[in-house]
Amino acid sequence: MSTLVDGPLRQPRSTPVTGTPLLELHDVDVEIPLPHGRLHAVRGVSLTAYAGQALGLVGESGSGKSLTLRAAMDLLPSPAVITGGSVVVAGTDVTGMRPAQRREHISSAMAMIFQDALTALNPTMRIGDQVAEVPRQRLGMSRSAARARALDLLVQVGIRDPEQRYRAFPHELSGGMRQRVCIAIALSAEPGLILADEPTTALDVTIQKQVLDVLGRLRRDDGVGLVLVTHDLAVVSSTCSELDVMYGGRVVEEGLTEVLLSAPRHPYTAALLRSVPDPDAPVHRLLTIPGAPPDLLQPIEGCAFAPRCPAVVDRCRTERPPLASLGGPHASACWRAHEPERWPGAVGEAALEGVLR
Amino acid sequence: MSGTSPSTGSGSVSIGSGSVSTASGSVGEEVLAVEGLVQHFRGRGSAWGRLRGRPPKVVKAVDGVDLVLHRGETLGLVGESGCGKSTLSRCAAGLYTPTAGVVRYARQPLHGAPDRAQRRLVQMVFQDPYSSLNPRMTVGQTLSEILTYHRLVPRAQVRARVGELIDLVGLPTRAADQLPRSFSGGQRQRIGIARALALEPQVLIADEPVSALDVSVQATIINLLLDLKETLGLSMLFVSHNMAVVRQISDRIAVMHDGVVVEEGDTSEVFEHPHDDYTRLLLASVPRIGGAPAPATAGAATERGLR
Repeated sequence: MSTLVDGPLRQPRSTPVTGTPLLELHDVDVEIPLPHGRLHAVRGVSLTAYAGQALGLVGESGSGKSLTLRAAMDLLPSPAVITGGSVVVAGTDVTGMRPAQRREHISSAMAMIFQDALTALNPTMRIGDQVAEVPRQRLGMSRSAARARALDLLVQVGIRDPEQRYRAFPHELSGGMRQRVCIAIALSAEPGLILADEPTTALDVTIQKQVLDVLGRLRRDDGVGLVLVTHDLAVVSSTCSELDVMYGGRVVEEGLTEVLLSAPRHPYTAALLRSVPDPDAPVHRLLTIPGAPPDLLQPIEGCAFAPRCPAVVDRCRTERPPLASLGGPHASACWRAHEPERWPGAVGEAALEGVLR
Repeated sequence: MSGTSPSTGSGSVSIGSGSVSTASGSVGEEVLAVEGLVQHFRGRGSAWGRLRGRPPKVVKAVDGVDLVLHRGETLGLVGESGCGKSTLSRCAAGLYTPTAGVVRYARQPLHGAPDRAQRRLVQMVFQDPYSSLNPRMTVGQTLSEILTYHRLVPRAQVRARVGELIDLVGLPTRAADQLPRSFSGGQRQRIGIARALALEPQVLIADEPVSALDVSVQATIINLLLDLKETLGLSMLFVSHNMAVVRQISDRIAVMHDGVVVEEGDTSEVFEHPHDDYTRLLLASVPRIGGAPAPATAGAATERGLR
């Protein structure tokens, strides 16, 4: 395992990871057919994730972040379907594969963990057996080897007394322990990448920290990549080196987390940063974003954020800005990305000062 | 508990020391207080256990808490799930009858459920506004029912007062004729706040009012609560697990752990110089934008938290 994690992977913040990406999305569209129209939830999202890298996908409810992740894992909830673009896993395009073959290929490269660990686990099976299931069924291990492997995995995710916990049922464990078991199950097929959909949202802060530490350690020590979907900018900031910000089904800004947090170049990112309360400094007024997210049942003309954007100009309403590079990995889908000093008010302030001190 | 708690044992006297200052400057008299509050829940136990005559398990949700809320002040009550903060707030709102201890509204002890006049003093805002609203009643119907039942305004003026309340929480006028399901999460929370404010309470007890909302919406609700507190002179008991939100909104905070208050004090004092180990652990665990928590504390804290 250690051969995977030399040099650059140990400092993902400073050195971009090279090599074959484990997951590539190219212009993926996801639509949900509804009685009164088609809800275009994900609109041409492209992203790339490597082993050993932590990528954050941030956005508010309805931004399409979870569906993007589920599209990648071929776990879209019915009736949502991928209607455009391609999903490339470990160098192979899976979009055209037969379903069984696609699942096989995807699950050998990636695994997913969910927000609600209790519903993700089988309530009638002992947790050890659930962790041993993949080694036994798919990797073809003997009963005792699978058990040993499961115990290993439980230790790896920080579960003490694995021998005793092995026989526990999910309801006997705390929320943090359940999420650890889910991570252990995700690891059991030795994936290169873990896709995590709000894995710590339901957990208390102290437990959240422990779970994030487990994911961080797996990435540093074993080179397991992470795509983390969350609405919590603080969690992303302490976990992920790269960041994609989504709004209205599209990626509106992407780049290194540090850069995005210190010099956002999309007014939405800037506004979002200023609306998060800071535990270390009380400001008596939080920035709010007026208006509501776009109606994804309708076609969106121009920039989806334009109706709520303080820096809006006429062009934004008619022409959609492409996700254009600002140098290096930093890209923003804003016509005014190159002139943040001319954005008005708090958004302009946030763009120039960021929130990193 | 390490005995550093300023609140244990000494009743409400030590808390109400005159040094407390609020954003608005002055601190009034006590509007809500709990003293020696204990709330135990008795489990049913298993059928087998009952047959064998085993005593049912008792959950000590709140185990001896003294707190005082002063006029015009916001008291943040923080802690993790299961620490008893919601139970405490429900006792304070008169929704539970405590196992032991006293709840006082405006210095008058509560005997059992609050009567109509007492209900008007203290109102509650819940985490999930949707499940706390009647889905079959329009916003206008919900609000006018309260106004009529409590005879707050003459019947002829109910409609106008509903309009005022809706306006007060920043909803469009047409909201009065709509059902709760046609509103977004943030708007539903505004309805929940309007419902609580209909009784013109002096105290608002808010139990995780922004936890289910997106950050940008969360900010609008926090700002709304700050505004209302200012304009209406409300006192607020703000219950949350989110340390960052509590920091924004509270004048004082009380940290709960395992049914007792382990630390209490001015918000900035507790955040900057926490005395209790648990408070330190809690603060060290809060994820921060662009900052890892202090390594020494964090390491020690994780060790402790794993136990």
